[in-house]
Amino acid sequence: MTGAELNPEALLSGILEGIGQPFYAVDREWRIYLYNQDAARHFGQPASRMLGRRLWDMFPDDIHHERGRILRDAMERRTTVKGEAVSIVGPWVSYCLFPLGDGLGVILHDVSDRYRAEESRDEALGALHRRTAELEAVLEMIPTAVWFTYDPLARQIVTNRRAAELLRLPFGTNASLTGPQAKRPTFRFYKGGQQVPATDLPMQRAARGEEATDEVLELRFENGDRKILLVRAVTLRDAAGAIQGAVAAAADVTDRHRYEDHLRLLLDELNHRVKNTLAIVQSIAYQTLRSSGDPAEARQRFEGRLLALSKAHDVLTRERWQRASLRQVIDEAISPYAGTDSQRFEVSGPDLAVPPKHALALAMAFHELCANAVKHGALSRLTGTVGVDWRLEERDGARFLSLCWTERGGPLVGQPTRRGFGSRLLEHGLPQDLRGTVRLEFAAPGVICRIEAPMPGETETAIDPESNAIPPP
Amino acid sequence: MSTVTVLRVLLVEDESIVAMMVADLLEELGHVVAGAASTLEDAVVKAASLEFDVALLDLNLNGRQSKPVVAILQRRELPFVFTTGYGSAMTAELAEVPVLRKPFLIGDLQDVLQQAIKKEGR
Repeated sequence: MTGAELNPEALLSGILEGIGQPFYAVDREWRIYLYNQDAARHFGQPASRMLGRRLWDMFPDDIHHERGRILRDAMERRTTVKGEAVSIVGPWVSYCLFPLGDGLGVILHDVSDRYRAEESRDEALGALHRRTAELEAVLEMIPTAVWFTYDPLARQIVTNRRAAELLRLPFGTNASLTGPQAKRPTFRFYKGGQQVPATDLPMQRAARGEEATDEVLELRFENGDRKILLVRAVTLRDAAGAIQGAVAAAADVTDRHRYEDHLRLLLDELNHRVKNTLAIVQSIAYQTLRSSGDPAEARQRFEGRLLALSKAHDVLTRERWQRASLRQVIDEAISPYAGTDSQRFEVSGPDLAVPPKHALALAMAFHELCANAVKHGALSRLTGTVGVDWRLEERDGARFLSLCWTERGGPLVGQPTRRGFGSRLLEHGLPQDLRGTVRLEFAAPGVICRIEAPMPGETETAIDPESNAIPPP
Repeated sequence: MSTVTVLRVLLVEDESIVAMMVADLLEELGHVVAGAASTLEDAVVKAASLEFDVALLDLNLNGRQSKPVVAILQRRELPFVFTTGYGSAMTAELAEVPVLRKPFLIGDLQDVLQQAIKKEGR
Protein backbone atom coordinates (compact mmCIF):
# COMPACT_ATOMS: atom_id res chain seq x y z
CA MET A 1 0.00 0.00 0.00
CA THR A 2 1.45 3.41 -0.96
CA GLY A 3 1.04 6.65 1.04
CA ALA A 4 -1.36 7.98 -1.56
CA GLU A 5 -3.63 5.07 -0.82
CA LEU A 6 -4.00 5.99 2.87
CA ASN A 7 -7.08 7.90 3.82
CA PRO A 8 -6.24 11.60 4.36
CA GLU A 9 -7.11 11.58 8.06
CA ALA A 10 -4.84 8.64 8.81
CA LEU A 11 -2.14 10.31 6.74
CA LEU A 12 -2.47 13.62 8.62
CA SER A 13 -2.51 11.93 11.98
CA GLY A 14 0.57 9.89 11.01
CA ILE A 15 2.45 13.00 9.98
CA LEU A 16 1.24 14.97 12.99
CA GLU A 17 2.49 12.43 15.50
CA GLY A 18 5.50 11.43 13.41
CA ILE A 19 7.06 14.91 13.58
CA GLY A 20 8.20 14.02 17.03
CA GLN A 21 8.08 17.69 18.15
CA PRO A 22 5.26 19.79 19.59
CA PHE A 23 3.14 20.98 16.67
CA TYR A 24 -0.11 22.88 16.38
CA ALA A 25 -1.94 24.88 13.72
CA VAL A 26 -4.32 27.86 13.99
CA ASP A 27 -6.64 29.37 11.42
CA ARG A 28 -6.93 33.03 10.52
CA GLU A 29 -9.01 33.53 13.69
CA TRP A 30 -6.28 31.89 15.89
CA ARG A 31 -8.55 28.93 16.43
CA ILE A 32 -6.55 25.74 17.09
CA TYR A 33 -7.43 22.97 14.69
CA LEU A 34 -4.36 20.72 14.78
CA TYR A 35 -2.56 19.77 18.01
CA ASN A 36 -0.33 16.69 18.40
CA GLN A 37 0.56 14.54 21.45
CA ASP A 38 3.98 16.23 21.81
CA ALA A 39 2.21 19.62 21.97
CA ALA A 40 -0.09 18.23 24.67
CA ARG A 41 2.96 17.12 26.68
CA HIS A 42 4.74 20.42 26.07
CA PHE A 43 1.84 22.65 27.12
CA GLY A 44 0.48 20.21 29.70
CA GLN A 45 -2.97 20.47 28.12
CA PRO A 46 -4.80 17.60 26.35
CA ALA A 47 -5.95 18.00 22.74
CA SER A 48 -9.57 17.75 23.92
CA ARG A 49 -9.20 21.08 25.78
CA MET A 50 -7.31 22.88 23.05
CA LEU A 51 -8.90 21.91 19.74
CA GLY A 52 -11.46 24.46 18.55
CA ARG A 53 -10.34 27.09 21.09
CA ARG A 54 -8.74 30.40 20.25
CA LEU A 55 -5.04 30.53 21.11
CA TRP A 56 -5.43 33.82 23.03
CA ASP A 57 -8.26 32.40 25.12
CA MET A 58 -5.98 29.60 26.22
CA PHE A 59 -2.91 31.83 26.71
CA PRO A 60 -4.35 35.31 27.32
CA ASP A 61 -1.01 36.69 28.69
CA ASP A 62 0.72 35.98 25.37
CA ILE A 63 -1.20 38.74 23.55
CA HIS A 64 1.01 41.35 25.16
CA HIS A 65 4.14 39.24 25.18
CA GLU A 66 6.96 39.16 22.66
CA ARG A 67 5.71 35.70 21.68
CA GLY A 68 2.31 37.15 20.75
CA ARG A 69 3.97 39.82 18.62
CA ILE A 70 6.05 37.22 16.76
CA LEU A 71 2.95 35.09 16.11
CA ARG A 72 0.84 38.05 14.89
CA ASP A 73 3.71 39.27 12.72
CA ALA A 74 4.05 35.84 11.09
CA MET A 75 0.28 35.72 10.52
CA GLU A 76 0.37 39.12 8.80
CA ARG A 77 3.46 38.67 6.67
CA ARG A 78 2.60 35.12 5.61
CA THR A 79 6.24 34.06 5.72
CA THR A 80 8.13 31.38 7.56
CA VAL A 81 9.69 32.72 10.78
CA LYS A 82 12.32 30.84 12.77
CA GLY A 83 13.88 31.74 16.05
CA GLU A 84 14.39 30.86 19.68
CA ALA A 85 12.40 32.06 22.63
CA VAL A 86 11.29 31.10 26.08
CA SER A 87 8.12 29.04 25.84
CA ILE A 88 5.06 30.10 27.78
CA VAL A 89 5.46 26.97 29.86
CA GLY A 90 9.09 27.72 30.68
CA PRO A 91 11.79 26.00 28.68
CA TRP A 92 13.78 27.49 25.85
CA VAL A 93 12.37 26.43 22.46
CA SER A 94 13.35 26.94 18.88
CA TYR A 95 10.26 27.71 16.85
CA CYS A 96 9.25 27.52 13.22
CA LEU A 97 6.12 29.47 12.24
CA PHE A 98 4.94 28.90 8.68
CA PRO A 99 1.84 29.86 6.72
CA LEU A 100 -0.64 26.97 6.62
CA GLY A 101 -3.84 27.64 4.75
CA ASP A 102 -5.00 31.08 5.89
CA GLY A 103 -3.51 30.49 9.30
CA LEU A 104 -0.21 29.36 10.82
CA GLY A 105 1.54 26.10 11.53
CA VAL A 106 3.78 26.08 14.59
CA ILE A 107 6.59 23.59 15.25
CA LEU A 108 8.43 23.90 18.54
CA HIS A 109 11.66 22.19 19.58
CA ASP A 110 12.70 22.11 23.24
CA VAL A 111 16.34 23.29 23.36
CA SER A 112 16.53 23.88 27.11
CA ASP A 113 19.08 21.04 27.55
CA ARG A 114 21.39 22.72 25.08
CA TYR A 115 20.79 26.04 26.80
CA ARG A 116 21.49 24.57 30.19
CA ALA A 117 24.73 23.03 28.92
CA GLU A 118 25.77 26.33 27.36
CA GLU A 119 24.87 28.23 30.49
CA SER A 120 26.79 25.93 32.76
CA ARG A 121 29.74 26.02 30.38
CA ASP A 122 29.62 29.82 30.39
CA GLU A 123 29.33 29.78 34.15
CA ALA A 124 32.26 27.42 34.48
CA LEU A 125 34.35 29.52 32.12
CA GLY A 126 33.35 32.68 33.99
CA ALA A 127 34.24 31.10 37.31
CA LEU A 128 37.55 29.94 35.89
CA HIS A 129 38.32 33.42 34.63
CA ARG A 130 37.35 34.90 37.97
CA ARG A 131 39.51 32.40 39.85
CA THR A 132 42.42 33.02 37.52
CA ALA A 133 42.05 36.78 37.94
CA GLU A 134 41.78 36.38 41.73
CA LEU A 135 44.82 34.14 41.81
CA GLU A 136 46.81 36.58 39.68
CA ALA A 137 45.77 39.47 41.89
CA VAL A 138 46.75 37.52 45.00
CA LEU A 139 50.08 36.48 43.49
CA GLU A 140 50.74 40.10 42.58
CA MET A 141 49.74 41.43 45.97
CA ILE A 142 51.09 39.02 48.59
CA PRO A 143 54.46 39.85 50.13
CA THR A 144 55.52 36.28 49.48
CA ALA A 145 57.64 35.04 46.64
CA VAL A 146 55.88 32.29 44.66
CA TRP A 147 57.13 30.18 41.80
CA PHE A 148 55.64 27.37 39.71
CA THR A 149 56.79 24.62 37.45
CA TYR A 150 54.85 22.29 35.21
CA ASP A 151 57.50 19.71 34.43
CA PRO A 152 58.92 17.00 36.69
CA LEU A 153 62.52 18.22 36.29
CA ALA A 154 61.50 21.82 36.99
CA ARG A 155 63.42 23.03 33.96
CA GLN A 156 61.08 25.96 33.51
CA ILE A 157 60.12 27.92 36.62
CA VAL A 158 57.85 30.95 36.40
CA THR A 159 57.63 33.40 39.28
CA ASN A 160 55.43 36.16 40.58
CA ARG A 161 56.81 39.69 40.67
CA ARG A 162 57.85 39.43 44.32
CA ALA A 163 59.87 36.28 43.62
CA ALA A 164 61.57 37.94 40.67
CA GLU A 165 62.51 40.86 42.94
CA LEU A 166 63.73 38.53 45.67
CA LEU A 167 65.83 36.48 43.25
CA ARG A 168 66.98 39.67 41.48
CA LEU A 169 65.76 38.42 38.11
CA PRO A 170 63.87 40.41 35.47
CA PHE A 171 60.16 39.62 35.87
CA GLY A 172 59.27 36.80 33.49
CA THR A 173 62.71 35.15 33.50
CA ASN A 174 63.06 31.40 33.98
CA ALA A 175 64.23 31.05 37.57
CA SER A 176 65.20 27.40 37.31
CA LEU A 177 68.68 26.24 38.32
CA THR A 178 67.96 22.96 36.52
CA GLY A 179 66.90 24.75 33.31
CA PRO A 180 68.85 25.18 30.06
CA GLN A 181 72.52 25.62 30.95
CA ALA A 182 73.10 28.92 29.18
CA LYS A 183 70.19 30.74 30.82
CA ARG A 184 70.55 29.63 34.41
CA PRO A 185 70.49 32.31 37.12
CA THR A 186 73.77 32.85 38.98
CA PHE A 187 72.44 32.73 42.56
CA ARG A 188 72.97 29.63 44.67
CA PHE A 189 71.31 28.13 47.72
CA TYR A 190 73.12 27.03 50.87
CA LYS A 191 72.10 25.06 53.91
CA GLY A 192 74.30 24.83 57.00
CA GLY A 193 77.15 26.40 55.01
CA GLN A 194 76.97 23.74 52.27
CA GLN A 195 75.74 24.47 48.77
CA VAL A 196 72.49 22.64 48.00
CA PRO A 197 72.65 20.79 44.63
CA ALA A 198 70.03 22.24 42.25
CA THR A 199 68.26 18.89 42.00
CA ASP A 200 67.79 18.80 45.80
CA LEU A 201 66.08 22.19 46.06
CA PRO A 202 62.52 22.17 47.49
CA MET A 203 60.93 22.94 44.09
CA GLN A 204 62.83 20.23 42.26
CA ARG A 205 61.96 17.71 44.97
CA ALA A 206 58.28 18.68 45.07
CA ALA A 207 58.15 18.35 41.25
CA ARG A 208 59.26 14.73 41.73
CA GLY A 209 56.52 14.21 44.32
CA GLU A 210 58.72 14.53 47.42
CA GLU A 211 57.98 16.52 50.58
CA ALA A 212 59.53 19.94 51.03
CA THR A 213 58.09 21.92 53.93
CA ASP A 214 59.51 24.88 55.82
CA GLU A 215 63.12 24.69 54.82
CA VAL A 216 65.45 27.48 55.83
CA LEU A 217 67.82 28.19 52.97
CA GLU A 218 70.46 30.81 52.50
CA LEU A 219 70.31 32.53 49.14
CA ARG A 220 73.69 33.79 47.97
CA PHE A 221 74.19 36.13 45.05
CA GLU A 222 77.26 36.45 42.89
CA ASN A 223 78.22 39.75 44.53
CA GLY A 224 78.26 38.11 47.96
CA ASP A 225 74.89 39.39 49.17
CA ARG A 226 72.96 36.93 51.28
CA LYS A 227 69.35 36.41 52.26
CA ILE A 228 67.70 33.87 54.49
CA LEU A 229 64.56 32.29 53.02
CA LEU A 230 61.91 30.09 54.52
CA VAL A 231 60.78 27.88 51.61
CA ARG A 232 57.84 25.55 51.25
CA ALA A 233 57.03 23.60 48.08
CA VAL A 234 54.11 21.30 47.28
CA THR A 235 53.46 18.89 44.44
CA LEU A 236 50.61 19.80 42.06
CA ARG A 237 48.57 16.76 41.02
CA ASP A 238 45.57 16.32 38.75
CA ALA A 239 42.31 14.67 39.84
CA ALA A 240 43.75 11.26 39.07
CA GLY A 241 46.80 11.95 41.25
CA ALA A 242 49.31 12.30 38.41
CA ILE A 243 52.03 14.93 39.02
CA GLN A 244 51.39 18.14 37.11
CA GLY A 245 54.22 20.20 38.56
CA ALA A 246 54.94 22.03 41.78
CA VAL A 247 54.44 25.36 43.45
CA ALA A 248 56.77 26.93 46.01
CA ALA A 249 56.45 29.90 48.32
CA ALA A 250 59.34 31.64 50.02
CA ALA A 251 59.39 34.24 52.76
CA ASP A 252 62.40 36.50 53.24
CA VAL A 253 63.26 35.96 56.92
CA THR A 254 66.64 37.72 56.76
CA ASP A 255 65.57 40.50 59.12
CA ARG A 256 64.07 38.04 61.56
CA HIS A 257 67.27 36.01 61.58
CA ARG A 258 69.35 39.15 62.09
CA TYR A 259 67.08 40.19 64.92
CA GLU A 260 67.37 36.77 66.53
CA ASP A 261 71.16 36.88 66.19
CA HIS A 262 71.17 40.32 67.73
CA LEU A 263 68.96 39.11 70.57
CA ARG A 264 71.28 36.16 71.19
CA LEU A 265 74.22 38.55 71.29
CA LEU A 266 72.39 40.78 73.76
CA LEU A 267 71.56 37.79 75.94
CA ASP A 268 75.19 36.66 75.91
CA GLU A 269 76.21 40.18 76.81
CA LEU A 270 73.67 40.37 79.60
CA ASN A 271 74.80 37.00 80.91
CA HIS A 272 78.39 38.19 80.82
CA ARG A 273 77.56 41.33 82.78
CA VAL A 274 75.52 39.44 85.36
CA LYS A 275 78.31 36.93 85.94
CA ASN A 276 80.89 39.67 85.99
CA THR A 277 78.87 41.63 88.53
CA LEU A 278 78.44 38.52 90.65
CA ALA A 279 82.22 38.04 90.59
CA ILE A 280 82.65 41.66 91.73
CA VAL A 281 80.12 41.11 94.51
CA GLN A 282 81.92 37.92 95.49
CA SER A 283 85.20 39.81 95.62
CA ILE A 284 83.73 42.63 97.70
CA ALA A 285 82.19 40.13 100.12
CA TYR A 286 85.43 38.16 100.38
CA GLN A 287 87.58 41.20 101.05
CA THR A 288 85.10 42.88 103.40
CA LEU A 289 84.68 39.77 105.54
CA ARG A 290 88.37 38.91 105.79
CA SER A 291 89.41 42.40 106.94
CA SER A 292 86.62 43.09 109.44
CA GLY A 293 86.64 41.51 112.85
CA ASP A 294 83.17 42.61 113.93
CA PRO A 295 80.32 40.87 112.04
CA ALA A 296 77.92 43.83 112.48
CA GLU A 297 80.50 46.24 111.09
CA ALA A 298 81.34 43.84 108.24
CA ARG A 299 77.69 43.62 107.31
CA GLN A 300 77.33 47.40 107.30
CA ARG A 301 80.40 47.84 105.14
CA PHE A 302 79.35 45.13 102.73
CA GLU A 303 75.90 46.68 102.33
CA GLY A 304 77.40 50.12 101.76
CA ARG A 305 79.66 48.77 99.02
CA LEU A 306 76.85 46.77 97.42
CA LEU A 307 74.67 49.88 97.38
CA ALA A 308 77.46 51.93 95.79
CA LEU A 309 77.82 49.30 93.05
CA SER A 310 74.06 49.26 92.53
CA LYS A 311 73.86 53.05 92.20
CA ALA A 312 76.66 53.08 89.66
CA HIS A 313 74.66 50.54 87.67
CA ASP A 314 71.64 52.86 87.84
CA VAL A 315 73.63 55.72 86.36
CA LEU A 316 74.97 53.47 83.60
CA THR A 317 71.59 51.93 82.83
CA ARG A 318 70.18 55.41 82.22
CA GLU A 319 72.71 55.80 79.42
CA ARG A 320 72.27 52.25 78.13
CA TRP A 321 75.70 51.20 79.43
CA GLN A 322 77.47 53.33 76.90
CA ARG A 323 78.71 56.16 79.11
CA ALA A 324 77.87 57.92 82.35
CA SER A 325 77.90 61.49 83.53
CA LEU A 326 80.80 62.06 85.94
CA ARG A 327 78.66 64.55 87.85
CA GLN A 328 75.89 61.98 88.33
CA VAL A 329 78.36 59.30 89.40
CA ILE A 330 79.75 61.62 92.08
CA ASP A 331 76.31 62.86 93.20
CA GLU A 332 75.00 59.30 93.57
CA ALA A 333 78.07 58.21 95.52
CA ILE A 334 78.00 61.07 98.02
CA SER A 335 74.21 61.37 98.40
CA PRO A 336 73.96 58.91 101.34
CA TYR A 337 76.54 61.03 103.22
CA ALA A 338 75.47 64.52 102.15
CA GLY A 339 72.23 64.22 104.08
CA THR A 340 70.02 67.32 104.22
CA ASP A 341 73.00 69.59 104.85
CA SER A 342 74.23 70.48 101.39
CA GLN A 343 77.14 72.45 102.92
CA ARG A 344 79.19 69.35 103.67
CA PHE A 345 80.23 68.78 100.08
CA GLU A 346 81.54 71.32 97.62
CA VAL A 347 81.38 69.70 94.23
CA SER A 348 82.65 71.62 91.22
CA GLY A 349 83.82 70.70 87.76
CA PRO A 350 82.60 70.44 84.18
CA ASP A 351 80.26 67.56 83.53
CA LEU A 352 81.70 65.00 81.16
CA ALA A 353 80.89 61.57 79.87
CA VAL A 354 83.03 58.74 81.19
CA PRO A 355 83.14 55.12 79.93
CA PRO A 356 81.27 52.45 81.95
CA LYS A 357 84.43 50.96 83.45
CA HIS A 358 85.58 54.38 84.69
CA ALA A 359 82.13 55.11 86.10
CA LEU A 360 82.04 51.88 88.12
CA ALA A 361 85.58 52.32 89.42
CA LEU A 362 85.01 55.97 90.40
CA ALA A 363 81.69 55.18 92.08
CA MET A 364 83.30 52.48 94.21
CA ALA A 365 86.26 54.77 94.99
CA PHE A 366 84.07 57.69 96.10
CA HIS A 367 82.08 55.35 98.27
CA GLU A 368 85.27 54.23 100.04
CA LEU A 369 86.43 57.84 100.48
CA CYS A 370 83.03 58.82 101.92
CA ALA A 371 82.88 55.83 104.26
CA ASN A 372 86.38 56.60 105.52
CA ALA A 373 85.58 60.31 105.96
CA VAL A 374 82.51 59.46 108.05
CA LYS A 375 84.45 57.05 110.23
CA HIS A 376 87.79 58.77 110.67
CA GLY A 377 87.88 61.97 108.59
CA ALA A 378 86.16 65.29 108.02
CA LEU A 379 82.63 63.92 108.06
CA SER A 380 83.13 62.52 111.57
CA ARG A 381 82.97 66.15 112.81
CA LEU A 382 79.96 68.45 112.51
CA THR A 383 82.05 71.20 110.96
CA GLY A 384 84.09 69.10 108.54
CA THR A 385 83.66 69.55 104.79
CA VAL A 386 84.76 67.75 101.67
CA GLY A 387 85.70 69.40 98.39
CA VAL A 388 85.49 67.51 95.13
CA ASP A 389 87.01 69.52 92.28
CA TRP A 390 87.99 68.43 88.84
CA ARG A 391 88.98 69.83 85.52
CA LEU A 392 89.76 68.57 82.06
CA GLU A 393 93.28 69.25 80.82
CA GLU A 394 94.94 68.96 77.46
CA ARG A 395 98.34 67.28 77.54
CA ASP A 396 100.11 66.56 74.26
CA GLY A 397 96.77 66.55 72.45
CA ALA A 398 95.23 64.03 74.87
CA ARG A 399 92.53 64.82 77.41
CA PHE A 400 93.31 64.29 81.07
CA LEU A 401 90.96 64.29 84.01
CA SER A 402 92.49 65.85 87.07
CA LEU A 403 90.34 65.33 90.17
CA CYS A 404 90.99 66.17 93.78
CA TRP A 405 89.17 65.03 96.92
CA THR A 406 90.05 67.36 99.80
CA GLU A 407 88.85 66.95 103.40
CA ARG A 408 88.84 69.98 105.69
CA GLY A 409 87.88 70.61 109.28
CA GLY A 410 88.19 67.06 110.40
CA PRO A 411 90.28 65.58 113.21
CA LEU A 412 94.01 65.28 112.73
CA VAL A 413 94.60 62.21 110.61
CA GLY A 414 97.65 60.02 110.61
CA GLN A 415 98.73 57.13 108.41
CA PRO A 416 96.30 54.23 108.89
CA THR A 417 97.78 51.28 110.69
CA ARG A 418 96.16 48.77 108.39
CA ARG A 419 95.53 48.81 104.63
CA GLY A 420 91.99 47.56 104.10
CA PHE A 421 89.83 47.03 101.06
CA GLY A 422 89.25 50.78 100.75
CA SER A 423 92.85 51.88 100.42
CA ARG A 424 93.68 48.87 98.28
CA LEU A 425 90.85 49.74 95.92
CA LEU A 426 91.93 53.37 95.75
CA GLU A 427 95.66 52.76 95.38
CA HIS A 428 95.67 49.65 93.19
CA GLY A 429 92.25 49.03 91.65
CA LEU A 430 91.38 52.58 90.66
CA PRO A 431 94.64 53.41 88.81
CA GLN A 432 94.38 50.11 87.01
CA ASP A 433 90.78 50.71 85.90
CA LEU A 434 91.45 54.34 84.94
CA ARG A 435 94.92 53.61 83.54
CA GLY A 436 95.95 56.64 85.53
CA THR A 437 97.50 57.57 88.84
CA VAL A 438 95.98 57.93 92.29
CA ARG A 439 97.74 59.61 95.19
CA LEU A 440 96.22 59.14 98.60
CA GLU A 441 97.62 61.46 101.31
CA PHE A 442 96.74 61.17 104.94
CA ALA A 443 97.73 64.78 105.58
CA ALA A 444 97.29 66.64 108.85
CA PRO A 445 94.38 68.90 107.75
CA GLY A 446 92.55 65.97 106.25
CA VAL A 447 92.68 63.22 103.61
CA ILE A 448 93.60 64.30 100.08
CA CYS A 449 93.10 62.02 97.13
CA ARG A 450 94.41 63.12 93.72
CA ILE A 451 93.23 61.24 90.67
CA GLU A 452 94.70 61.76 87.23
CA ALA A 453 93.57 59.74 84.25
CA PRO A 454 93.55 60.02 80.48
CA MET A 455 90.03 60.40 79.11
CA PRO A 456 88.99 58.72 75.89
CA GLY A 457 88.15 61.21 73.10
CA GLU A 458 84.59 62.22 72.32
CA THR A 459 84.46 59.80 69.43
CA GLU A 460 85.14 56.87 71.72
CA THR A 461 82.56 57.75 74.35
CA ALA A 462 79.83 59.25 72.20
CA ILE A 463 78.35 56.11 70.74
CA ASP A 464 75.47 56.50 68.31
CA PRO A 465 72.41 55.53 70.38
CA GLU A 466 70.73 54.09 67.24
CA SER A 467 73.65 51.85 66.49
CA ASN A 468 73.24 48.16 67.23
CA ALA A 469 76.84 47.85 68.27
CA ILE A 470 77.27 46.46 71.73
CA PRO A 471 79.72 48.39 73.82
CA PRO A 472 82.37 46.39 75.64
CA PRO A 473 81.38 45.43 79.18
CA MET B 1 101.67 15.55 95.27
CA SER B 2 99.92 18.58 93.83
CA THR B 3 99.04 20.08 97.21
CA VAL B 4 102.66 21.01 97.90
CA THR B 5 103.27 22.52 94.46
CA VAL B 6 103.83 26.26 94.67
CA LEU B 7 102.85 27.80 91.38
CA ARG B 8 103.97 31.11 89.97
CA VAL B 9 100.85 32.52 88.34
CA LEU B 10 100.39 35.22 85.71
CA LEU B 11 97.04 36.85 86.51
CA VAL B 12 95.29 38.52 83.56
CA GLU B 13 92.00 40.08 84.67
CA ASP B 14 90.49 43.39 83.56
CA GLU B 15 88.16 43.81 86.53
CA SER B 16 90.40 45.21 89.27
CA ILE B 17 88.12 44.28 92.16
CA VAL B 18 87.99 40.68 90.93
CA ALA B 19 91.76 40.65 90.36
CA MET B 20 92.28 41.66 94.01
CA MET B 21 90.28 38.68 95.23
CA VAL B 22 91.95 36.22 92.86
CA ALA B 23 95.38 37.44 94.03
CA ASP B 24 94.30 36.88 97.64
CA LEU B 25 92.90 33.44 96.86
CA LEU B 26 96.12 32.42 95.09
CA GLU B 27 98.10 33.49 98.14
CA GLU B 28 95.69 31.61 100.36
CA LEU B 29 96.38 28.51 98.25
CA GLY B 30 100.09 29.03 98.72
CA HIS B 31 100.78 30.19 95.18
CA VAL B 32 102.63 33.31 94.06
CA VAL B 33 101.36 36.01 91.74
CA ALA B 34 104.27 36.34 89.32
CA GLY B 35 102.60 39.23 87.54
CA ALA B 36 99.24 40.86 86.97
CA ALA B 37 97.83 42.53 83.87
CA SER B 38 94.51 44.23 83.22
CA THR B 39 94.91 45.23 79.58
CA LEU B 40 95.65 43.24 76.46
CA GLU B 41 98.85 45.21 75.78
CA ASP B 42 100.16 44.67 79.31
CA ALA B 43 99.17 40.99 79.20
CA VAL B 44 101.04 40.43 75.93
CA VAL B 45 104.21 41.98 77.34
CA LYS B 46 104.03 40.08 80.63
CA ALA B 47 103.11 36.76 79.00
CA ALA B 48 106.17 37.06 76.77
CA SER B 49 108.68 38.25 79.37
CA LEU B 50 107.83 37.00 82.88
CA GLU B 51 108.76 33.69 84.43
CA PHE B 52 105.68 31.78 85.61
CA ASP B 53 104.25 28.25 85.68
CA VAL B 54 100.65 28.88 84.65
CA ALA B 55 98.46 31.78 83.48
CA LEU B 56 94.94 32.68 84.52
CA LEU B 57 93.63 34.38 81.42
CA ASP B 58 90.39 36.38 81.15
CA LEU B 59 88.90 35.60 77.71
CA ASN B 60 87.56 39.10 77.35
CA LEU B 61 89.76 42.09 78.16
CA ASN B 62 87.76 45.33 78.02
CA GLY B 63 85.74 43.96 75.13
CA ARG B 64 88.71 42.47 73.30
CA GLN B 65 89.49 38.76 72.93
CA SER B 66 92.67 37.70 74.63
CA LYS B 67 93.77 35.51 71.68
CA PRO B 68 97.13 37.27 71.15
CA VAL B 69 98.07 36.23 74.69
CA VAL B 70 97.05 32.63 73.91
CA ALA B 71 99.42 32.60 70.93
CA ILE B 72 102.35 33.68 73.12
CA LEU B 73 101.56 31.14 75.85
CA GLN B 74 101.30 28.36 73.26
CA ARG B 75 104.60 29.37 71.72
CA ARG B 76 106.24 29.33 75.17
CA GLU B 77 104.45 26.03 75.89
CA LEU B 78 103.12 27.41 79.15
CA PRO B 79 99.83 26.05 80.52
CA PHE B 80 96.88 28.38 80.99
CA VAL B 81 93.31 28.53 82.25
CA PHE B 82 90.55 30.67 80.77
CA THR B 83 88.44 32.68 83.16
CA THR B 84 85.14 33.95 81.85
CA GLY B 85 81.74 35.21 82.94
CA TYR B 86 79.87 33.27 80.28
CA GLY B 87 80.44 30.49 77.78
CA SER B 88 81.66 32.45 74.83
CA ALA B 89 82.31 30.63 71.58
CA MET B 90 85.68 28.99 71.77
CA THR B 91 87.49 27.67 68.75
CA ALA B 92 87.80 23.91 68.44
CA GLU B 93 91.57 23.82 69.04
CA LEU B 94 91.08 25.64 72.37
CA ALA B 95 88.21 23.43 73.56
CA GLU B 96 90.69 21.44 75.70
CA VAL B 97 91.79 24.46 77.73
CA PRO B 98 90.38 24.35 81.29
CA VAL B 99 87.77 27.05 81.95
CA LEU B 100 87.06 28.76 85.26
CA ARG B 101 83.63 30.35 85.28
CA LYS B 102 83.14 33.47 87.39
CA PRO B 103 82.07 33.62 90.14
CA PHE B 104 83.94 30.59 91.52
CA LEU B 105 85.01 28.89 94.73
CA ILE B 106 88.59 28.69 95.97
CA GLY B 107 88.47 24.92 95.43
CA ASP B 108 87.53 25.42 91.77
CA LEU B 109 90.54 27.69 91.32
CA GLN B 110 92.90 25.09 92.74
CA ASP B 111 91.32 22.33 90.62
CA VAL B 112 91.69 24.12 87.27
CA LEU B 113 95.27 25.12 88.04
CA GLN B 114 96.15 21.49 88.78
CA GLN B 115 94.28 20.41 85.65
CA ALA B 116 96.26 22.84 83.51
CA ILE B 117 99.58 21.74 85.01
CA LYS B 118 98.79 18.04 84.57
CA LYS B 119 97.77 18.45 80.94
CA GLU B 120 101.06 20.12 80.23
CA GLY B 121 103.06 17.43 82.03
CA ARG B 122 101.59 14.69 79.87
